Amino acid sequence: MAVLGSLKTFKGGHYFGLFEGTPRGKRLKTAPTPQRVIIPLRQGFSAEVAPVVKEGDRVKTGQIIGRAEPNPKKPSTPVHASISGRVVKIDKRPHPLGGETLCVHIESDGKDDWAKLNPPANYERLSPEELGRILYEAGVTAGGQAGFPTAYHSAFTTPEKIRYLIINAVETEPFCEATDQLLYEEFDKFVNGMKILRQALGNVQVHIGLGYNKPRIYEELIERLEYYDWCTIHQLRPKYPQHDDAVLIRTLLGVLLPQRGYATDVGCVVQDVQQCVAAYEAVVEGKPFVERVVSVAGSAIQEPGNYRVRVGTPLSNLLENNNTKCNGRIVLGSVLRGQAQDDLNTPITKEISAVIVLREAERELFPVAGPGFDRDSFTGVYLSVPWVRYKRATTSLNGNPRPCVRCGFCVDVCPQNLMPALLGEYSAHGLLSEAQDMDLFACIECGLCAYVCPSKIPLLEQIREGKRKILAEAA
Amino acid sequence: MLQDRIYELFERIHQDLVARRREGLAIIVEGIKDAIFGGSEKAARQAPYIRDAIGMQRYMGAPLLACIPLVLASIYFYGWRSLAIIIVTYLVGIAVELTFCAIRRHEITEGLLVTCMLYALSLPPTLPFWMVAVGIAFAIGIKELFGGSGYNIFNPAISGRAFLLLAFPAAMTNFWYVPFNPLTDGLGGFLHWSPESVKGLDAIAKATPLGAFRDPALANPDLFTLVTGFGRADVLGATSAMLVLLSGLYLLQARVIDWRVSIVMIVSAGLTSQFLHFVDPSRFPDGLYTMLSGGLLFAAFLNATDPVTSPMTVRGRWIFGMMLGVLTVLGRGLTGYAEWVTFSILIGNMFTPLLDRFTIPKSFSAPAIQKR
Repeated sequence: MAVLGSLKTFKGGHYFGLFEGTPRGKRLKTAPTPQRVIIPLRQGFSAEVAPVVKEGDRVKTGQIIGRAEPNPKKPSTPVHASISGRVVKIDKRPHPLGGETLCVHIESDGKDDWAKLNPPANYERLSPEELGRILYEAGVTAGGQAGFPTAYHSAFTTPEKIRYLIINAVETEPFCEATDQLLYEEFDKFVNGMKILRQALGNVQVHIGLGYNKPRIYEELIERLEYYDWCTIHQLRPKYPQHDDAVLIRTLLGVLLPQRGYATDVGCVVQDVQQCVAAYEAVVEGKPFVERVVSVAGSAIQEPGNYRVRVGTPLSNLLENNNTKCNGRIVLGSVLRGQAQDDLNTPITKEISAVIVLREAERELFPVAGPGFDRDSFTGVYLSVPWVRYKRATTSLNGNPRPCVRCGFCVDVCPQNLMPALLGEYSAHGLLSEAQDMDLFACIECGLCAYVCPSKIPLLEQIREGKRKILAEAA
Repeated sequence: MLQDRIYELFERIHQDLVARRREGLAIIVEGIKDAIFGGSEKAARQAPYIRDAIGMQRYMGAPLLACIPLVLASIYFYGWRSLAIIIVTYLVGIAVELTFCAIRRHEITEGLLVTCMLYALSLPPTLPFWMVAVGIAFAIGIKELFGGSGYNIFNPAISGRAFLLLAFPAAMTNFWYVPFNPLTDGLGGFLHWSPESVKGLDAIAKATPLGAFRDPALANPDLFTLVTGFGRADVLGATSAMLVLLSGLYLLQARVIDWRVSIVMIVSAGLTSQFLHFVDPSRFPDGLYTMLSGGLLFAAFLNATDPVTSPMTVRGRWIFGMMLGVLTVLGRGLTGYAEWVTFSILIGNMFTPLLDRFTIPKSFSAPAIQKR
C-alpha cells in the first residue's frame, strides 16, 4: 500500500467553522420505523423506473417495488420497499432534489418482515459479474454523483472502462456528521465493503481520500491495508468542497473532469462511506440498501443527532422527536447547494445525508458592531476565540444587497478557478455565449461564491439559471 | 422587543413617504434603516441558505477601523484643524451622495464613508476648508455620474485629490505644517487648533520629504523621521509611515485588501527606485527613501486596493501592483510633480478593465464531451 505523507488540498475553498447544532461526535441512533413511507422511483442521477407493485399489494422490507429494463441510455437501479406493509398509493410528487417523479406510498403493518437476498457463502470467490448483480439487486449501485457501473447499466459506463475506485471519506459539508460517525462505528464493514466494491469493478486501483482530521482512522486503515499494493491513502485537508467528485478526483489523481461530465468519463468511480457499508451489508448480510445514516442538525434543532433512517421516511417523522423551534427553515443535504423544503411529507432519499433546520433571520440592532466571536467568515474582520465554540447559523443574509464591488472574494474561493462574479453577471443579463466562453459549465455549483459575497449577490442562483437557459436553448 | 418597534417605525415612515410620492426621502429612510439593522433581518431566499457574516458594512468598516490610528495621529501632529477637515469632508460628501441617491433613486452605499476618510487623510493640513469641500463634492459627484459605487472607473478619493492638485497646485503642494513632535511637545496637537496657532510662522514647513529631496537647498529627513513621522511634514494620514504600515497589516490579515496589489506595489516601487538611483541619484532616491516618503505606503494599502477600481484576477492584480509601483517612481523622478502616486493610480484605474479582460484564469476542467 502506498501511503502519501503529504497533505493534499486544492486552490480556493473555505474552512467552515463549527456551526451551532452540528451533531459532531454524536453516536448513531436508529430512528423509529415510520408508519408510512413515500419512496420516489427516481434515485439521484438515474432515470425513473416503472413500478412493479400495484395499490393494495403487500410488500416486505427490501422487496423490489420498481425497476426498469437495463438500458445503456437510461441507467437505473431497482427501488426497494423500506418497510413491510401495504402499498396505498402511487402518485406523482415533487422530488426532494428537484423535478417531479412517481412515488410509492407504503403503510406499515408494524412487523418489519425482511425479504433478504441470499448471501453467498464466500464473496471473495465471486466474479465481478456476480457481485455486480448482487449490488444491483440490492440497490447499492445508485449511489454517488454518477452511480456504480455494473453489467446492468446502472451508470453511464461499463465496469471495463473503470480504472480507479475512489473512496470519498472526507465529508466537508457543514452539519453533515453522520457519514463520519458511520466511519468510526462501522469501520470493519467499511473496509470490507471497499474490497467488495473493488472486486465488483474487476480489482481496480483504489484511492482513499481521508480527512486529515481523522488520525485514528488513518492509523487503522494503514494497519488493515498495509500489505495490499492496490490501495493508496491520501490525507486531505477538510476544506469545503473537497468531497465533490470533480475536486476530489483532481486532488487525488490530477485529472480534470470534462465540463458537464461525470467521474465515470475519466474512468473513475467515486463512492462514499455509506456506499461501502451498504455494499458490505448487501453482499454479506443480504440486506438491500433501504436504510442510510442522516444527520438531523441545525440551529433550530434542540437536540441534534445522527440517525439510521429508512429511505422514504417523511421529514415530519424525523423532526417531531427533535422538536424544532418555531420559524425554522428545512434544507435537505446541504445548506450551500440544497433546496429548502416547506412540505413535511417530503421523504428522505438515498442521496440525503443530512436534514438541516436553520433558525430564520432575526432583527438585530447594529449587528456589524462588536467583535463577532460567533460568526463564520472567509475574511478576518471578525475575531475568533477558543471559548466560543459554535458559530451562529441562521438564514440571515448578514448584509444588505449591494452592487458588485469586484472585491474578488468569489475568485479567491472558487475551487474551479472561475470568475463567479462575471459568470453570474453574464447569466443574469442574458450574455449566455460569453458565459459559456468563460467555462460556465465547469462550475460544480458548490455555492461558495454566493456564500462569501459581501454584496450578497445570489451568484449560485444566477449561474444555475444561466446553465438552465443554455441547456434549454440547445434542446 | 426594541428592535421590532424600531423596525416597524421605519417601515411606517417609509410606507407613508411612498404613499405621498416622496420616493427620494423614502430611499434615505430605507438607507438609515439598513444602516441600523445591517441586513440581519433579510433572509436568503435561494441556496446557499447560510451566508458569510461579512456584509458591505463590515467590509467597508475594516478600512475605517484601520484609519482610526491615523486620524488620532493626525490630530496629534496637526491639531484639531485636521479633525475639522475630516468633518467638513464627511458633511459635504454625505450631502452630495444623499442628493444623488434621492434623485437617482438608488440605495446609499457604505463605500462613501471610506471614500471620505481616505480623501480627507490625503490632504495637506493647511488646505482651506472651501477647497476641501470642492474636492470631495467633485469626487462623489464624478463617482455618481458613472452610476455610483461599484460602477465608477476611477478611485473616487484619488480623483478628488487629483482635481485639487490640478485646480489648486500651490495650496496643495507649497504650504505644510511642521507637526508637533512627541519628543519635545508633550500632548501636542491634542491641546491646539493647529501648529500655526501656537508657533506662528515657525510652524510653516517648506516641503515634504519628497519636496526636500528635489530641492538641493533642503536636507533630506533621516530614516527615524521618515518612519515615525516625528517632525516630518506631510499629508494628514501619511505622516507616520509606521502607523500606515500597522493599518496595512491589519487590512491584509483581514483579507479586505490583497497583498498582490499593495505589497507588490511597494516592493516594485522600491526596487525600481533603487535601480534608477544607480543611474541618476539626483533624480531618484534610494529604494527605502522612496518606499517611506510621500503617500506611497498610504496609497498602496488604502487607495490602490480599492476593490472597484483594481482588477479582480490574481494575475491582473500582480500586473496592476507592479505597474503602479513603477509609474510612481518614474513620475516622481521625471515629472513636474514631487508626488505622483495620485496620477499613477488614476492611470492604473484606466487599465483595470483591460487587465481583467486579458487575465481571466483557465478553469480546472476539460472540454465537454459531446455524446450526451
